[in-house]
Amino acid sequence: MKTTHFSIRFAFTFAFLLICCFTAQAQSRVFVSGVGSDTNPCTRTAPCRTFQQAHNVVSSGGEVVALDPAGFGQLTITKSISIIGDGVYSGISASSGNGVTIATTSITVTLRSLIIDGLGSGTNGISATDFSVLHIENCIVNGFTDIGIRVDPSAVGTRKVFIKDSISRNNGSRGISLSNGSGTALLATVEGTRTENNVSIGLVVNGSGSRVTARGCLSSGNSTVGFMSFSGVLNIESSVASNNGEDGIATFSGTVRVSTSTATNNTLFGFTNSGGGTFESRGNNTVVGNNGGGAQTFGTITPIAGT
Amino acid sequence: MKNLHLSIRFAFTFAFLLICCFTAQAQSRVFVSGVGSDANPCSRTAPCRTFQQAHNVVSAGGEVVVLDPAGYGQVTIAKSVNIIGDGVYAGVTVPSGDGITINSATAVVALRNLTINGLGTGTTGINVTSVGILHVEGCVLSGFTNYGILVNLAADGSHIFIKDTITRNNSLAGIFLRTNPGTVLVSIDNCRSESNGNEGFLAHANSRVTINRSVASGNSGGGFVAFSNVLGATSELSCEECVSSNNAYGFRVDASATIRVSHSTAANNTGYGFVQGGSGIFRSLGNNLVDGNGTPETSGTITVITAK
Repeated sequence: MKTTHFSIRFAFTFAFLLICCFTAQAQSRVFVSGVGSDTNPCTRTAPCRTFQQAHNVVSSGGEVVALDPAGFGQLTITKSISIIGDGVYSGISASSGNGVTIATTSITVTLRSLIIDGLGSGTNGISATDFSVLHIENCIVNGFTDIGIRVDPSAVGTRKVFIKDSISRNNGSRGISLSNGSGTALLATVEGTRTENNVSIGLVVNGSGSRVTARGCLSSGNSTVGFMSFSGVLNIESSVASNNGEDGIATFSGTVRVSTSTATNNTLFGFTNSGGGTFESRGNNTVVGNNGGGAQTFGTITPIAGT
Repeated sequence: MKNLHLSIRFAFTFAFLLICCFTAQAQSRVFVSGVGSDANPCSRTAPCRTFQQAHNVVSAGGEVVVLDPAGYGQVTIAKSVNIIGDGVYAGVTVPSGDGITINSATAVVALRNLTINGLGTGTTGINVTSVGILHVEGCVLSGFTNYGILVNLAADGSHIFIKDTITRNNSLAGIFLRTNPGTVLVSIDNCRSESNGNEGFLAHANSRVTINRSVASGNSGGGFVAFSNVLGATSELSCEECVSSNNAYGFRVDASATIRVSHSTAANNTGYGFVQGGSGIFRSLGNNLVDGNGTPETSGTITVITAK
């Protein structure tokens, strides 16, 4: 009798585990909550506690949704996924290491409405060294010792990056760095995004295959340059560079094209072409009040006509 | 045996309290709730009731997070902190005095998504007398007898960033920016100043201000104004893609100041659209729409500068 009892219990337990795990594997939308637990299946009614556990449970291409305000922990993403913090405070604190690490080939990742804080000691807010497509939307990246948003795929191949409505501030190095070590295509759009008070360049492009367009962006109060292309292409439309510690908008050996934008109150030049790169200006930009009222541009600035 | 049992219980209790209190002191993220209590440790499950208590408990550079819609009281900030009201109504009601006072020369402060209401009797919404770096994002400041945001410093080197923020129905200027001595660097992006009793945006002594994609409308003074009446001080104000309408003036510069305006609109102001007075310098990129204001549309010397 006792043995039967045990058997029944065992059978139930086994069945429960089976259901639990099969359910978990099939979920395309999972949930996290500040009062959740990572022993839960990450469902709407039994949410998990951390982004990492939710990421591990959700099916490829699925959604991780924050239910209520909390910090949900650092995260390494290894599959296609959307992390969605809409409508609530969805925090990631990283007192060491990166806030979000993305280093897996051929994945499509969306990060929405996250507040990622390095507390003055974490390394990078978002570090993306491999992926296929990356969307960063309405995120705040603050207080890291290195780069706020670091995109630096080293392997050959085309990658697409879209950064919208985000803020990178108070980081110890660059605000946003878009590089492609392999020299192949890094195609990026940055819109409605601000870089503020970073201890280096606000937004920088690097790599001969980089093609970046920034529209409606602001780089202000960074310690060196507001917008810069070391190499590769950076198009800047309707954007503002102000109160930066060196230049407003600059190229070294890359290409910069600027229209309907403003560079003002930067400590050095408004527009700078310092390393034999190409600096094209649409002729409708406001470049004034830089360099203590001295020369507003440095190097060759090429006017281009409208069409 | 019973004594031993009690001793163990006591030891556990003591250990728990120790952990609890040490944890509270070390917390880099704390929480407030409309049903919280300031006797709580401000944790996610035992939140505090007020911003002030949460500010006092959180570690320097940490986050104060609002859990649910409520008013959280006036607060004086004396260290680096982020106060985050994202996704809910996070109110500060100010029947007297200032809503948020910031007074710490080295503090890095971010205020996000707060609704700060002076009820027609509070003095100023955000009063900054000393700060290292300040970010104001997504806030609403209304109904104060003085200013929505007052930055009035006495030191060099502060950076102020104001984004996505509305000042309205305050009796003096919506946003007032000044330091003496030193220089204060200010960036304002996508903000609105509406129906204030004086200027919408005022760049006063020793400020270097860039305002982008912002609107000043229905203010009793000028919409965007730069002047300095502090001896030896100058101010600079650059306006890009801004709209100034239904104010007393559109864009105005006066003593010891420079204003630069590009890709902007001044319309339906009762006085001049562009006005230069005193020793002020008014520089226009020549691509602005200035029409439908008082007659004439501009006053003083407007210097057109070449675009690049």
